[in-house]
Amino acid sequence: MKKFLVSILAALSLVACSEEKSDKPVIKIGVSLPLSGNMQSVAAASRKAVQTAIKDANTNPDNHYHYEVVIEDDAMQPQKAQLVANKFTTLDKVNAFVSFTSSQGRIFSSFADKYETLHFNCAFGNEGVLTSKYNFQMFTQIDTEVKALADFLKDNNKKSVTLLFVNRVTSEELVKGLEPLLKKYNIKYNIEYFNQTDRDFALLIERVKKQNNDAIVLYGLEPTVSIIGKSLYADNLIDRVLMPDVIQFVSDINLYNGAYNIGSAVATDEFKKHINLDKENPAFSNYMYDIISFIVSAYENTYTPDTPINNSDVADYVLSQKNWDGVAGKYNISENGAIETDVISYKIENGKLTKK
Amino acid sequence: MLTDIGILSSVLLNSLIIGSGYAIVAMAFRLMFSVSPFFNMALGASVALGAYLGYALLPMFGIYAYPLILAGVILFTWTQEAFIYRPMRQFGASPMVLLVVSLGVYTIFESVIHLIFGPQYQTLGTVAELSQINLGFAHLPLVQLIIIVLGLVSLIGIYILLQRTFLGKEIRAIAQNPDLAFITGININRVIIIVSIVVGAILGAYGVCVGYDTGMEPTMGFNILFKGMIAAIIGGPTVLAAYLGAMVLALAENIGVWFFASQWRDLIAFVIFILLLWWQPNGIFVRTPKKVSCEIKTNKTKGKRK
Repeated sequence: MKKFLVSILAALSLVACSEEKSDKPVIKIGVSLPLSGNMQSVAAASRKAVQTAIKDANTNPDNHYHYEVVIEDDAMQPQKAQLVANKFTTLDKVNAFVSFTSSQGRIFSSFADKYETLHFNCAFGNEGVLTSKYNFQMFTQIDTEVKALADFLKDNNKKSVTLLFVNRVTSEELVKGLEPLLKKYNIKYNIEYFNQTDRDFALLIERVKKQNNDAIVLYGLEPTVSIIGKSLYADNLIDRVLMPDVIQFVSDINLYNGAYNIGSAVATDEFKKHINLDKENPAFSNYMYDIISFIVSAYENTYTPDTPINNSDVADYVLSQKNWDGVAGKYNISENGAIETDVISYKIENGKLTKK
Repeated sequence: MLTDIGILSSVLLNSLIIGSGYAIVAMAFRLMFSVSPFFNMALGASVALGAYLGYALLPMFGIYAYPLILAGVILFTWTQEAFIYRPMRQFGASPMVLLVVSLGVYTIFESVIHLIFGPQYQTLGTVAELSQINLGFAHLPLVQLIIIVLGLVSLIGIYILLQRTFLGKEIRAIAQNPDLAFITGININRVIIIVSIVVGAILGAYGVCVGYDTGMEPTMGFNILFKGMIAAIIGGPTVLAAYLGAMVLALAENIGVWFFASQWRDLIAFVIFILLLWWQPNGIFVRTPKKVSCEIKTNKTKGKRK
């Protein structure tokens, strides 16, 4: 027992000694992720990406600040997001915070406005997120993705489509964007919603089969997309499938051989190695890495010796930029705070993604 | 419309598959509830454990892993009963306290699964590996046929256990009046342990099927248990009633999905749940005793009093 206690104490003192001490002023970044609940599989890689980005920033000797990160779990629930945002602003007193998905982003935006804290949201549905100069969204924007989807359908001569969407706010935004374009291109469509908690989709797929449309646009999250994927695969419908960003979530990419993914950039193997991903789903981790790196770059570029940090100046700096290079590609920065990469079309062939 | 034979067959087949899943959990819940009357939320963890043990052991031991999986889940349910619920019952814990404790057990289990296996969705077999049976109007994966068979085997097995064995007599005695059962010499704790072993085996086997069929994630247990409990309550207090209740629930959900939309599945389930219980508060497959007239014949009484 004594030996055990001594070894624990020794380990603890080693950990304490190994913690880097820095004389540099500190920038605190709060990151809210769905680390528990139905979306937890999506957040694991993002956590690693954030930690790696912070480590990379702190090992750069040219940086003027030392960066600290506070990662909290919002379980994808608005009530918890409210608590996390409150903790970040009042207790941790972070300089900037990052939120995941637009539904959580809306909550953090109101805190960003009130406390003049920089807020970066990783999502493509932007309704209610970009409310002031302190709020930014780093991803591909929903309008751009919707346009790319509709154009793809038109260019590939699809006359009819089933929109097979998870029942979420983002899906409604997608439908709102797609409907006028589909009407304009004279493409017939059916809309089918399903719940994220559902696990049986046999009859839903039966309905989709009955509709017999030329294409199926599938939008959802894990595990529902993989379970639906199994049914679509069994019914030989995969080659009709078109997905906005869904490939970022799926655990078995082979299930979707023949389908297309249209949306944000998928993490490269080199990036996955850099952030030390093992079995985790890489979903959007490249964007989370870029968000932290971009925040670091904004603070570094507005650094003035012996002057307190001013978030208004940092926000102005971000808005004054036109583009920025990250691991997910080149970002275009708009006046409303949307920082987006181009839409990329991938075809899934033999378990690999090929850019089209 | 359901007049189309193909669609009708799909609705019925899918109801049978989904209903069998609900029924397995409902029957296990009913059996456990009959001897240990509280809402044991940790039963959902047994299903998840079956799936995750399959994920861990099947690649190592192949077909020989199945008995190990069942043994693991049985050990899990037995440990809970022997070291958590039994001592608490002896200290006079109420069903409400036991419910909260079981919720705690479930939450700890979910977190441990998350720590060991990670939060990501996993499956025991890719779609290409799973055998399918062509029924003409639909392809039935072999694992779904196994779920249907497991449901029926569990129903028959539990029925025989309850009606044809001495242990069954003891279970029924405890379910009717635990105090009287104790006085007559029935070792209640022994019976509960045996029942928890049987329940563990059923739920563990179902967990492996779920692992093959829809895959697994750490939070899976709660949703599975939830529908099973609803089915058990809709049906009534017997195991057959729980089985039939599960079928009614699945059929209603599937008809609803076909006529309305998949997103309203839970809404449909709960509307049916409330309507059926409003009509038959003790379960729809329970013979309600004839109402005994308690009317007071006022005129006569008045006359007598006068």
